[in-house]
Amino acid sequence: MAYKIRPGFVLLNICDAHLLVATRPLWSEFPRVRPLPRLWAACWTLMEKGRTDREVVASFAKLFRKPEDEVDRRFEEMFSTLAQEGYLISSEDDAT
Amino acid sequence: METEYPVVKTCALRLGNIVLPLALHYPETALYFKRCLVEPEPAVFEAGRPLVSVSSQEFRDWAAAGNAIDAFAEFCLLCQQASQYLFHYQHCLFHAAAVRWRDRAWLIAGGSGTGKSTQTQTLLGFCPDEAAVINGDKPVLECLDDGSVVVHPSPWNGKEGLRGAGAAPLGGIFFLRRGDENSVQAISPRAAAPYALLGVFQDFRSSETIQRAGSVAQHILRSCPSWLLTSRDIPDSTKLLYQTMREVFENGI
Repeated sequence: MAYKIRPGFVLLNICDAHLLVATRPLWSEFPRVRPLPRLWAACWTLMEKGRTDREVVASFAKLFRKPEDEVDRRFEEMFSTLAQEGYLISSEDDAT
Repeated sequence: METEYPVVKTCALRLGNIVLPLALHYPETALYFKRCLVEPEPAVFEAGRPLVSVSSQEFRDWAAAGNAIDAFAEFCLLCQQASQYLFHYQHCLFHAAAVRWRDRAWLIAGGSGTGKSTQTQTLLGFCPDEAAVINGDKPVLECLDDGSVVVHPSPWNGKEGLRGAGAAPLGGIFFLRRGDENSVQAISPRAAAPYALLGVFQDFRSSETIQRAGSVAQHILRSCPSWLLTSRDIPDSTKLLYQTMREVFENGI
């Protein structure tokens, strides 16, 4: 499934804590601050720069020197969790 | 036709080491600031320099939420404006009660209703001759180039009106939450980051203000120790707070 980030969040690094911060218009739907693991934050940064989730997987496969399908399996949990929480929009949701 | 609110008075307000040029729509609003008003240097009102002021739209939004539009409304709304202005000068308003004890400022931070004021008043009861309140709700924090932070009074001191003591260097922050037990736990700057970010008073509307708040929160956390204070009841949780302050003062971190 393809994902893209929902606009309206700002990723901060404060004292090595990676925090996804919701802008005020999103406060009724999202927690104001959602801590992210370091790897998730790195993925978010790439997606902010316009990379697709496929491109993110490919980048990390290259970085970790692992097959893409293996990285894909590891990242699927992250993508689906963030999509479930509303931070990522899946192509299915986007179509509706 | 939409209501417009004309400016009727200008004055200058000192917060920390910054003088803010205020444009008021209600002359009585100045009374809320009387302890902080100063005679401004002419440059403060130079043409082109932005004034700190509530817009007509903000008044209309405030009214739409069912609130009265008056001097008190303007005083409350100016808090947000002042905080935005202060960001440009390495200052911010921080949502916490600030107590001066042994020449250091100690912040008790937490959301509305967590019991900051009650903790503060109880703490004063433990050491009435040694402690005094700098500000009960939103002190000004000044981030210095050497990495330290100074805590100053501000006019926004909460409904209890706790105030009185002068500025002091920041000694530590207690992030307060309610819980099923009384405990105090030292936490790392990393663990304290979400709490500190939400303590920095700003509107969270743009990426720019959020980035700035993050930078200020990082400066604050790196300058002093932090604790998570869980309070089931008072005064037992306040005793833990007081004991921790004493330990820091006597033994260091």
